[in-house]
Amino acid sequence: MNVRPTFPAPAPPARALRQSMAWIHAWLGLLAGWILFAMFLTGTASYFRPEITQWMQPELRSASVPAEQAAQAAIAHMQATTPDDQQWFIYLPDDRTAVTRVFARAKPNPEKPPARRPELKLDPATGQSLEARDTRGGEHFYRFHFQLQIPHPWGRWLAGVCAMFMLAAIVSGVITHKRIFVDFFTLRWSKGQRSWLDAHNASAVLALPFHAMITYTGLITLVAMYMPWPVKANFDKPDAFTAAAYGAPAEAKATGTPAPLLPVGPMIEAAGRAWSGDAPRTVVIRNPGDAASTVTLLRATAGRLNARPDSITFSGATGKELSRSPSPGPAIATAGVMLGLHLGHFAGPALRWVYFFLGLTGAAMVGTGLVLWVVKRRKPNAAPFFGLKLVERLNIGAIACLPSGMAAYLLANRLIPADLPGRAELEVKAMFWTWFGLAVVSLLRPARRAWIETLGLATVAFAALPVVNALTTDRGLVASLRTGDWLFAGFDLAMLAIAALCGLAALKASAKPKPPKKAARATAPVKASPAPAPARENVDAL
Amino acid sequence: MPYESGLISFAAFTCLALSMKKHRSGLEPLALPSPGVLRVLGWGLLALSAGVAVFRLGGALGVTSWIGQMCVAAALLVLLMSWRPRAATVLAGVGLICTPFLAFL
Repeated sequence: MNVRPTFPAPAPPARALRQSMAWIHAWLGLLAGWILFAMFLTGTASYFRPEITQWMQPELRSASVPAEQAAQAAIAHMQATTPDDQQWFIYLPDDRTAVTRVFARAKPNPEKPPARRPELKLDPATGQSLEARDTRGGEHFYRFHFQLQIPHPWGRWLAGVCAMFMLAAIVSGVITHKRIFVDFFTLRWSKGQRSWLDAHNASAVLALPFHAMITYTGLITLVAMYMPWPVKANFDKPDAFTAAAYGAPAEAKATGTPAPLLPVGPMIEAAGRAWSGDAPRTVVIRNPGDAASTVTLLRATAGRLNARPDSITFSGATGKELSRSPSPGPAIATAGVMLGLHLGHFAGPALRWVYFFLGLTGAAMVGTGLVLWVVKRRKPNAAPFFGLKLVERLNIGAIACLPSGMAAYLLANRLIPADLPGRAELEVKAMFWTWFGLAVVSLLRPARRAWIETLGLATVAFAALPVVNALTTDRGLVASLRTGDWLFAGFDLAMLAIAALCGLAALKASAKPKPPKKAARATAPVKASPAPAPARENVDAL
Repeated sequence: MPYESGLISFAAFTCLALSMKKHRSGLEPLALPSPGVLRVLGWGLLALSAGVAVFRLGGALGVTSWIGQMCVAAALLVLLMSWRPRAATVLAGVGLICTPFLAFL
């Protein structure tokens, strides 16, 4: 056997693996990082989706009403206005949603397809139609975090590719990080590259269960889209799969014989008995006023990990129970729990805040990783090469300009006149014009100044929110604290806290960077060190 | 008070951190137990925080809530320790002492 002597001795397997993983980690993280940061930040905001929507419609005030009353009031309203619809989809109010929301669908008309009707907002107690400013509310952040404001299906695909990169980056990152336990509690400030690595490691390792869970469950939620072949191979139509997995929906054809719809109160009571006292969250009425009408109740999922609601269908004419969702098998239950873990709808206020903070940790992990990529490759006393400048500029645009964009979305909600047509789209435009516009404008400034100034602007924008809210509505911070309106008070205080956070980041960015003491060792190539010395730091293991 | 499990795991992680040599410096006025004692105490408290969460919320929600609160507690501890290590240690002790009383709120 000839061994060619010109080859260097191969690295020990463990170190070779670590090095290759470090390479994968750095490049996967970089390529997906800018989008992942936006997904993490808007996804984190989405844990407060109903609260953001409530804040963005200050005309509506929540009133707590039992499910029976809200459902009956909504049905009475629909019967009085559009009794001939094919279907009413009624979202009942709960402790996070102030109003009853109804999506109505007219009977199919072969001659003229009916126009898509907007969501109706009804007073939970009286069923009267409510007027509020047109807005997409918290739904916008939620939709953006997995559709990226790109036409279907490309947005979801892009988000999925980024999530796959993220999952690979998590695995490769854990393999690369050789001092997980030694550096578990280590975070050193103002030490240049070392600090960025510490912050990246801390934000990643300390919340690792959350990061792995949220990335994996996010992917799995859309897995039937990313990997449609198993379903395609076994079912002729997607509907057949849905019916097999979740039970066939009640879709009886209208008979044409009129029959009054019975009160839903007794049906809700019967459902409550079957669901150990839980109330329904949604009431779906098909063919109202027909002898074949059905009332389907969907169970509220708060307090249960499985996000797929149980359902019971009653006959609207006789009140008899027609069908019940089958008790889910292990696979469907697992899928429901994964979706539930991702959405966090089961979480009460305490756990919701925990989710929120963990989401911020995820954004911090991605953000510090992106900055670290640049800091690690920047050579002192040398002009930065093009790629480095490009990445730094994209970092500024993705990390420092997005918060301003999100604040602009909320500010636009208060500043655009409440009755302006098309205002919901204008709010969304305000976010993207601010975000990308700021990113372009920041090109005019030197990189360090750009960081400071864009973060400073985010500070001002978030701090302005409570002020603008107090000036344009009667639900300012002082008023909401006085009346015990905790949603509005909490929202304003949260905006001030975020402003403080952005301000702190701007201050840190403006502090004179101290040169790291061990700069020579930090940039030394890995193979130059013969054996891992016990005190060696982990700076090259990115 | 739904955060007992988080407060206990904050104290648990403080014990585990202080059982490491590099996190013991700069805490002079405080008399720390030996690293071995702290390590046992830390793991014990971590188990206790899991037990408290499961006892309160049942298996599925309890474990979810425990892991979530544990992660947040660890992140807050590391932030605080990097800034005011002594305050972090004192806060962990105070939090732990207050936990049984908070449980009744």
